[in-house]
Amino acid sequence: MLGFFTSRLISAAIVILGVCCIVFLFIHLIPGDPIEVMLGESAQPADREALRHALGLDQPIGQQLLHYLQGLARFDLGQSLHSHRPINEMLLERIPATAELAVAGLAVAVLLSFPLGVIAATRQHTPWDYGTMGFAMLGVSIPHFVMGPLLILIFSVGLGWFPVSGREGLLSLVLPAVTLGTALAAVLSRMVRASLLEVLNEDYIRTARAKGLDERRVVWRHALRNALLPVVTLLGLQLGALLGGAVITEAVFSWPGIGQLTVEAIQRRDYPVVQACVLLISLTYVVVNTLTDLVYAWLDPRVRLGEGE
Amino acid sequence: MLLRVDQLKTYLRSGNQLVRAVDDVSFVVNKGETYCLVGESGSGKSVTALSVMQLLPADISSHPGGRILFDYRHDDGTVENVDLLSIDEERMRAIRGSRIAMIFQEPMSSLNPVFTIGAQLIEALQLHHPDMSYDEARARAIAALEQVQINNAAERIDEYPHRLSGGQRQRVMIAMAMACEPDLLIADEPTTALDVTVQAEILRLMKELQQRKAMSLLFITHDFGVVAQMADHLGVMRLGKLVESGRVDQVLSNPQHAYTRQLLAALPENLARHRDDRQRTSTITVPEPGAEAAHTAYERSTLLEVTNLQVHFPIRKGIFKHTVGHVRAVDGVDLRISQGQILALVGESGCGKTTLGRCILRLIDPTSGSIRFDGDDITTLSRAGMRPYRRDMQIIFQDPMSSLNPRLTVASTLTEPMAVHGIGASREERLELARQVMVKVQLSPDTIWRYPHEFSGGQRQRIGIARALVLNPRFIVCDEVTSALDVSVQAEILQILLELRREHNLTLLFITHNIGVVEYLSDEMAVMYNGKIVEQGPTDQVCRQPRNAYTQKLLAAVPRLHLG
Repeated sequence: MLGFFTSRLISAAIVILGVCCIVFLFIHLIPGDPIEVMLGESAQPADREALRHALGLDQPIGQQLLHYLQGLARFDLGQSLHSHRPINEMLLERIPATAELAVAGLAVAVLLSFPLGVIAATRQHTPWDYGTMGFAMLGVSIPHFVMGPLLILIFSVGLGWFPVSGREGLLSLVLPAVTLGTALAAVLSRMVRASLLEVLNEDYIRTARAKGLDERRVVWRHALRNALLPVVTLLGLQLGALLGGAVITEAVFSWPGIGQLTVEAIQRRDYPVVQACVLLISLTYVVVNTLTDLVYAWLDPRVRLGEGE
Repeated sequence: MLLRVDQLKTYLRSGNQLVRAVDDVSFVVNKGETYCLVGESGSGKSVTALSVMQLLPADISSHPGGRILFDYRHDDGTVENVDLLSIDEERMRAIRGSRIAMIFQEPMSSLNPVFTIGAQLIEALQLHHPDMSYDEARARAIAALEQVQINNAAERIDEYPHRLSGGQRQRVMIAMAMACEPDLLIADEPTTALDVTVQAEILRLMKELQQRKAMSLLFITHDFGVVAQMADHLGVMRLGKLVESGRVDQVLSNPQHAYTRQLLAALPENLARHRDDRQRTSTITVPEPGAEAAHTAYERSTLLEVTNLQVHFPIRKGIFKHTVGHVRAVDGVDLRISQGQILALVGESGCGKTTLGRCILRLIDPTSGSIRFDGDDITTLSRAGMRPYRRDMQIIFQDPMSSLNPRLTVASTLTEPMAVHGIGASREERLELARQVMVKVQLSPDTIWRYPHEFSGGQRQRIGIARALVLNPRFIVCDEVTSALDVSVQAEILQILLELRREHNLTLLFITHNIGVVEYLSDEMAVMYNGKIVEQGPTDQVCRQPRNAYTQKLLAAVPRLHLG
């Protein structure tokens, strides 16, 4: 187990270093002169030179990379071109909002999808099955930019239960979390159903029944943990996506998260901020995927590669 | 009497069809006795067992008739005769696992991979003894593991199933089934997936436990050798019906029903008795030193020669996957097969016989050593260099279900290799050749436009043989070609192979673990163990007077119909 753990962490570290280098190169991949793209064609030569110097673009590329990596190590991401504030401060402001939304969305998704998937799988080919899978189909089909406004219209404008937008208190979290969660729940519940149906046909499930276990224990103890293995992978990928900022949902609900920051930065051609956001999103993916692998190993003893096999 | 199955009918619904899986079956299992249900696949023996356990999915199964009467021993010792078909699910659950336990065919998949074996044993114990403490249950689980001869039970109890071998897993299954001391143990082909030496140990263990606990056993198998060893009474099933039932010695020595006689006649060891011994062309006439003429004659007839062949697979570990060691799958093998000879390569799973067979065909690259085919060294030939030899060297695989591409018609499967090797001038000519080969393997030539799923397992294996034959090869590796088949189908396939050998002077390397088949089919046999050939010689001689200790153990473990 320890061997598996360290090997995962080391490979994650290697990937992170690679990601940092690629993100660093972004600014050099902008066609033409990045300074011109940022400032526009009518900018004064002096301003251009000042920016070039500020961004370090007048130095050799190796040195730039070194500076960039040194900055990262000190968690110094440079300054925003627009607000002239340190980017790390801007990110730190936004991360809690995104994390909060991601966790809430995921919670909604898991709480909905697990019971729905189990109901559908254990009552295959009954109205229960068709009903839950119909809901899942609906959830997948409705895009966030329809679901969000729809919920706002009904529950905020119509019933007045929740605030229309912004991030003020727990109530404001409900609608964006539900918007994110239902779509994710739809995908997850189909996955739970399919995976559980497969596992319920396994020989060890028959063994569990032959022991005299009741159906509830067979499903929730013996089958579900095995069925969760593929679901966890999907969950990890989705959590990575959520933590990277749910761009559309954050825009619909004016949720002050990373997604919104990214959109704003792109609109303002604030490249250092875009660069920082991309880096953050990538790192989140790597970290979440590594965690997923570790959870996987915990769920399935066969994955713990360090041990024999 | 402990269990009386009385005119049981179990119907299974599959799509719009109703299958009479068990149709009017009656038998009795007495206290402390073993009743064996024998039959080929699809005969309804497993469905009968699952009916007793009431483990068939309710939505597809029904019991339009019959009773399953069982003496249910309550915890206070009173006995009540209940009909398992009419009691409710809650009472059935109390019986399942505690009074009637079951073990299954597939030890590799019958244990839950995410729980330790201890957790699974303790769960069974605590389920039926709600007041048992964890420590007590654990102690009893360790005792149960010791009873099935798991070494270091106190430590191994915390292992996950994937760390155990197939035989050990089946022992754990038996321990779990026996933990609650059931009155009846149902064993559904418990040793079919195991090696013959492991099978012998498991059977001995089951018999011993049964006698010690005075337990009844309902034993399901397709292997008459196992029946002869285990059963007191025997029932033969065919197409859902019990065609013959009686004391085991009576049924085996004087079978009444035609089907029983047919099944017994199809056993390789019985086939061997009828086989004309003159067919055997034992070519291993070891030349006298200096006998020049005999020596060259022998050399000329050698088709395949393998010298000091080694196949090692690297074991990779760590982040950078560096090689920490090697699995010596084939470890210095010498083999020589003469033209027209059938050499049986015998060994248990993991001994390297399949790797050896594939390496000879250059489907796996050898680590060292040499392979000579018809005098040519093919050890290091490139893919393109091998192509002319592919025509002469073919392989037939074990699993007829997965070795044919389900999306190709038989016609495509058979004509594709001909097109690759430029046999037949046109498509029509190739189709005609394919039809001829179909006749050779006793399939209707009209069926070549069908897809593999439209054939039975035995028919598919014949298509597999046909596929190997279309190129008119001189040498075929047969890798466990009859292992997945019923004995009567196996007999047909073996006869086809012998027929083909006679007609075409084919040379076969016949890889198998079935000694009965070896005795029937082969001229010579080679016994493989841990990547090495431990004994080789004419089949009769090796079987009668095995010299190597492992060969002796292997032969002794084979369950025989005719004991002694």
